[in-house]
Amino acid sequence: MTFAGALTITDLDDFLTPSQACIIPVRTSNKPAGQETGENADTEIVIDSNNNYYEVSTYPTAAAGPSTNIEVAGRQQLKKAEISLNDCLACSGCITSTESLLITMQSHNEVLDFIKAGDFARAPVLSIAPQTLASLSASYAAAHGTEPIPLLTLLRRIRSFLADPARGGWQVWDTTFARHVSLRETVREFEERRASPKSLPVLASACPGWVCYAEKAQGDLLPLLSAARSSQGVMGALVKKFWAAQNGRNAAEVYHVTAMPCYDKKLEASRQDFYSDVYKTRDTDCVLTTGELDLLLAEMGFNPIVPVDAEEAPVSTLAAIDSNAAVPFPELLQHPGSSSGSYLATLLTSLAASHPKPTRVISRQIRGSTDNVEYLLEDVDGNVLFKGSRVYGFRNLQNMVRKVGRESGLGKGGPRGAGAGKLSAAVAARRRKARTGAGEIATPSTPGTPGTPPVDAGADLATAALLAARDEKKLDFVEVMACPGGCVNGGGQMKPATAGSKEAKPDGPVDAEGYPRPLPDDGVAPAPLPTNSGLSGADEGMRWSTKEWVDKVEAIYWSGLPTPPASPTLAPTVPATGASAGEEPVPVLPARTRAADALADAVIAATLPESGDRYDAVRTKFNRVEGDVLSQGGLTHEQVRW
Amino acid sequence: MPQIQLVADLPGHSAAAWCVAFNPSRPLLASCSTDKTVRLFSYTLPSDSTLSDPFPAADAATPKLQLVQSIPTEHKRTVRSVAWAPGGRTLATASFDSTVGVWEEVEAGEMGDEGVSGAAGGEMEWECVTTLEGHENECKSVGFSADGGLLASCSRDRSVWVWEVQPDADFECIAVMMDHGADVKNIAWHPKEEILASASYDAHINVMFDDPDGDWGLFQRLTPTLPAADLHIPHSSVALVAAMGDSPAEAAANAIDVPPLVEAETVWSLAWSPCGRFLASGGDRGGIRLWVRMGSNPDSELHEVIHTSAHRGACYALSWGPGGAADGAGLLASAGADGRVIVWQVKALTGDGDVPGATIEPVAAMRDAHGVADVNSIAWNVREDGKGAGLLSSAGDDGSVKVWRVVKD
Repeated sequence: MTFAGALTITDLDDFLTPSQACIIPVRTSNKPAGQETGENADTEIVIDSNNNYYEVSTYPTAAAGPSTNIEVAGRQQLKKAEISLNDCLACSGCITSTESLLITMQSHNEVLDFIKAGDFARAPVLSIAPQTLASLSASYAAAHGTEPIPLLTLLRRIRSFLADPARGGWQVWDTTFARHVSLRETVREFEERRASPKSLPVLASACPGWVCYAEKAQGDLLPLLSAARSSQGVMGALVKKFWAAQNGRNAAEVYHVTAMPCYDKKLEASRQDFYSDVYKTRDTDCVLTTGELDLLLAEMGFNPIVPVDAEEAPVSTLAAIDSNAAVPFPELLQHPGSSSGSYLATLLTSLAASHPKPTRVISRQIRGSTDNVEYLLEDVDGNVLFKGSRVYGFRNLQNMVRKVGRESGLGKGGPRGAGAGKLSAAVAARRRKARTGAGEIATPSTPGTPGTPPVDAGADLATAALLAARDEKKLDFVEVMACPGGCVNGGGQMKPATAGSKEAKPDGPVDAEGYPRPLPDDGVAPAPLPTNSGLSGADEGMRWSTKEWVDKVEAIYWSGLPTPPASPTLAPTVPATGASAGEEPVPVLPARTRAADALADAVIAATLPESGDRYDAVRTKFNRVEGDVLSQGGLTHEQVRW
Repeated sequence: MPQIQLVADLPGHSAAAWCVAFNPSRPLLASCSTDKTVRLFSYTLPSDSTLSDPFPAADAATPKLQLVQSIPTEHKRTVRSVAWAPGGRTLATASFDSTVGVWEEVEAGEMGDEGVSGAAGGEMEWECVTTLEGHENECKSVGFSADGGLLASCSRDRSVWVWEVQPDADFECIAVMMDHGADVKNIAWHPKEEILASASYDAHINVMFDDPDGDWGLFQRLTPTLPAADLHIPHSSVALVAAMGDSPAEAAANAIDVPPLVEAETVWSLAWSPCGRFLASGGDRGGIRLWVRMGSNPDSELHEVIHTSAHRGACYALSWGPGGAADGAGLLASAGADGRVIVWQVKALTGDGDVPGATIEPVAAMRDAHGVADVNSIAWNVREDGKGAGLLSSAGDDGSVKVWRVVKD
């Protein structure tokens, strides 16, 4: 299999990759002769010169040696095992990386082929994520030595370039209006679910990497996942249902491509929920990563630094559905909070607005990490109204899963696997004992968690009570993202200009496990610290630029907007350890974003079917992936012995 | 010259035994196996077992060992590795089912409503208090840091994980390191500091620490370079030469002219010296390498100083205990696919150059320690109270678990 160019320069380590040998061929293979009758089923597989596979019984003349058996025993031609994408989605993974499979199915080459075919009976639409625009802008700035192109300008240059009928006559939009719809649905769902505390916390489901992991490895937590569709999921419905209908087309007559910062969005687009049985089409036909969009544009000859007409035109303010508008949705709506969708910040804003008393937001970083931050919404009386958490990256995600499992009684926070179901009352009692023992110092109800500083007996009781209330409050919402740094650091984003091209292609000899031998030096080799570094500048750049690069993309993400928000991020200003938390204002939505509410309501009303089933356009479901080789314990690969 | 003497051939597992570990505070030995059980053996030391000499006489009274308990772990696949926490009250198991189990001893009478009916009060039982999930596939090795504050595990998924041990049998993941290019076979914590080494199929050893400027991470990637030096056997020992020398089959294999392998070799095993200055690594071609730490900073680099031929097959396990010479380098035990158990004396040299040197010589060896089976694991008994020092345990691919000691000739 050949890989798309974007993949070869991409370090795939951030991904939750499939792990097991593919079991599909095992499932579908014919039973060996004699198995039904309980006879000896010793067989061998023989491949003839035409690449046909035969199953050959070595029974009963075992004494004569297999080479002679093959000719005398019955041959049975085997069906070739076929593995479809759906098999992969319903499986816990295989040696062949799911990503590589998807890359051939949803690649920039597929889009190029579509354009070359010149059959534009399907109206082409490209929806670009704002994180993708920010990454492209940073990359173009580095490549051309210019100032970063503002996101709106870049969006309009790409739109102008692709609108050329010779290139397909694309509609090019961004996904922020879809995100606005998604965020409103998230708030709506949260309000529904908070009525029954058992359905909390809500775990954001916009990150397909996390969703994929949850479905395969954390099935017990699936009821907690937010049912609100991601921006891409909503965008698909808007394009294929709303916009198509507005233009007198059916869903199959629109070709919808999205550009996303993330490879796993390809997986998301392939979900059954986003497939229309009636029109045999998906809400999103093809997902390109940022890197693939760059390749596509480059191959078509796009020059990002050439200005186009009306690129400085003010953004339109659409108050109602206007089927004549050149751009049917408001461009680049801002949602202050995080560059990964602002789900948590939007909830904070909404809850603060609906609370009768003035409120404040307290944030604290866990272990000094900006990827693991707790946010508390308190009112002036010290009531803790809401506890949310921002959890980015696989490591923090692991701890979140354990914490949520403990708090909710779901999942794997407790013992499972080894000693499953055996957590005795004894251990539980011992834990309670430990808690109450530690609690005696402060207030009797304070759990002795490590994060709680010792409160000395003479301290203000109100403060102690507040700290206790903060610690006792269970999580209400978690903004989960699989990538450290969130979506601006997505696996599909552009890499720093200095990186890349260092990855050695495994064109030398490979060993039995497919690893190149001798192993290529991967650039991590003897890596002294920067303080006493004897490395050349380029090498040092390799190791230390990644964070800087992500910071750059993040800065562009927040700056290239029609009206820069006053308080861009919800980043805690105080690196809080324990209870020394930072206080910050409740984020406020810009007026232009708030003004999009009316259009959002109208568009949803026009998109939803008569039944009003929200799952048709703005919600989705998650399914536990069964067939896990490990959990079934049926197919053990003990040949991987050591 | 000293010899290796069999102390006990214990009731073995019903499938390959993978790892043995002595409890650091109590007379207990743990073993684990493909049969998914962990076996606990107790031992009673003879009353006059104070060791003035590093090696007891061959006819000295031997410790008595017996099987205490076989824990059905409920791991779904092979239990590949066991490790005790300092203090000996917690046991960790690493399994091919991708999880790490953490076990503590509870009173059986404490079982509450679902308790064992009629259990005598005070009877102790090992119970899984938590399971650490996260590895994508086969977990290969597990270990607690010197002060028991951290637990590390590694897996075929190429990752090394570090967990912080918290109260109430709670664990928080503080690092997932993906610096290896292939299956990570083994991990080893420094005996005093929070420094972790990992060995991999990618032929490298990674050394990691908690970077004060950031997260846990790699600070040095060790690339073996020295060619294997010929094994030096002190000529005075006929028994040693007999045990270390080629068997007829090995001699026949040697007679075939095999061109030297050029590919890099898997690093199977790791062991730090008790003083923390040396790291030993065992390779797929059977050699043992010694790496010396060039300073006492947390991130002081390691340099390869010795690569000696040792086993005729992969060196699957290393264990480094105190004893022998007084310079702190101690006795190193190795075991391998050739069925041998070898005890080495390592001596630190105060070299005149920049790199401190060392010497390594075999002291005693046992051929066919587990019959024809490979020897998968080796472990010295190193207790905090010093009792039972000199006991050595090994686990065989045939499921057998044996205990040895080194005696004077």
